[in-house]
Amino acid sequence: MNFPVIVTGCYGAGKTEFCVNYAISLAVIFPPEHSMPEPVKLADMDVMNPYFRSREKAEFLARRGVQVIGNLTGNSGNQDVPAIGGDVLRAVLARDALVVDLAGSSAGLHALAFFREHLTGYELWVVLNAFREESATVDKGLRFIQTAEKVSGLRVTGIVNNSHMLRFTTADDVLRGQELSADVAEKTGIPVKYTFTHTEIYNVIKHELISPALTFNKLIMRDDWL
Amino acid sequence: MKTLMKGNEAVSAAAIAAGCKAFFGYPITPQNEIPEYMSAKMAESGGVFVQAESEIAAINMIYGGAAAGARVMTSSSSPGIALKQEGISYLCAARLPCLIVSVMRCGPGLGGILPSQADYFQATRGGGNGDYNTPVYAPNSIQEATDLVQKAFNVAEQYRTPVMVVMDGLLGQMMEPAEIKPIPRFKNDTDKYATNGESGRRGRNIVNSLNLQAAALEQSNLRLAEVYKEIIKNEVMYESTVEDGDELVIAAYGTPSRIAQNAVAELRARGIKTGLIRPVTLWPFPDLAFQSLPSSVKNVLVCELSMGQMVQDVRLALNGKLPVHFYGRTGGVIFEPEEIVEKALEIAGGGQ
Repeated sequence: MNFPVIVTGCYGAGKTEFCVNYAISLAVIFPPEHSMPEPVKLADMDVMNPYFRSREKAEFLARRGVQVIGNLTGNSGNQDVPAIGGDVLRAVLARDALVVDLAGSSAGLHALAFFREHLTGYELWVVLNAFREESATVDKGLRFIQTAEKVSGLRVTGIVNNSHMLRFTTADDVLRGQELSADVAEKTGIPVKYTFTHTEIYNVIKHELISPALTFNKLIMRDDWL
Repeated sequence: MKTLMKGNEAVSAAAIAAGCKAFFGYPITPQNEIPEYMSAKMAESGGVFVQAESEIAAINMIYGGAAAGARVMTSSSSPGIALKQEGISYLCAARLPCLIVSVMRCGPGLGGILPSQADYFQATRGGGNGDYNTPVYAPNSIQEATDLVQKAFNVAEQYRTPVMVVMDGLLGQMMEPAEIKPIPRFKNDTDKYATNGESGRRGRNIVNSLNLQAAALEQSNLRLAEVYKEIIKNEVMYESTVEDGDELVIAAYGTPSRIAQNAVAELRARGIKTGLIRPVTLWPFPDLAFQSLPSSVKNVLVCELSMGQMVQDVRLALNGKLPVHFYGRTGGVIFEPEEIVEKALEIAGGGQ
């Protein structure tokens, strides 16, 4: 398995929600006391938007075996400080089980310059949500992948279908997103790595899925009252 | 069709759908997605986007754009809106329509970048000089934000006044499924005021806020007061779930009204009959919603992300008729429904 897993996508595609869930799922596979000497790490490298950040959930994630890194000023608050801690580079060099949560849009990929030259292996996954204007069509998905590769100097290695309408998501919505992801996959040869959806929806559509699923029971980044 | 929209994007998309032809602004968190969206989309829709050199420059560009008869808009966040106050006062005096979106963050000073409602006074009282008011809309969902932005342009033109849409930072940043539902556009006769070229069809229009004649300036203030009276008469918006028999009323606007909704449900489940009043217009304030409360209501609890600002308007509306309590958090801390429940229980238990 290649590390780090770098996750990109347009604004609001659901990168952070995917990243925190994916990191937790890795922590189940790689509990610190077993195969890995270091805990699974999640680097919050969103240098653009201070809201809805994985660092907000650092304590929650720590209890689930995931260490949030990347913040020079600690994980206590949302600060408008686009500075990344050296702990990210250390995790890259050590080839730790690391998930990198970038800022939205291809501009968010610029932060990769921080460690790109030190990468020996990696995954670069693009999160697509058919219900976000910027990733709503195959053309937009293709264009995003093109730009992402140009900006990062890396190859995109996976697509994540995260098509949703928050708590109003239907099974059809997820399948529509799968169609979009599959079309983009066919045109680029990049595989669909995951469909990311609620367990209840997964149970309805599991036989129609063409990729593995990562499921959740409750959104982590969104408070219940919202 | 509904798509997943971020509050700031939705506001921008709604403004373009409403025919906004010029956006002038300056970056500040947490409203940056508005200028960013506008920088990409205004040109596509045949409009103008200018990132001004400052908030002050932007509001004065708004003055120019509105004086030329265009649908114009600016947006900012708290300290940036503070810088615009002089311009807002001038726009009011010159009777120019425009939309000002305020995505509120924590203060005072540079404060912080997290959600706040501590600019209720800034919006409803204003920091500019003179006797003026601006209609202020406070959506509590992204769908409502798209509707109110369009309405705000209409109201601005109908009464020829700046209009504000205020959102706490969370509403600007969060996402919800929403769709832009176009509403009919007010037929704005710009010939009545704009300096858009008389071409011999009318007399000259002069856009001005300076008036050195005492009697004339007083007349102009009285005319403004008449306009405000009309706005108060026609444009108040609020939602109320208060029923006969309710003992407690919670008042909240914006995102906190959604937290309060959860608290109300919990309180009702615990047998405390509670209703919710959500002002949609902060000015004009829905005085009547409070003045017409059923006699069963014993207490009013106002919940805000501030040290207590709207609570003053609730007290003014009730004029001593009922005890008015307050619960607020600041600095970017957002209260949970349980905190409101606890405060409500404390109030309900107070009489026993």
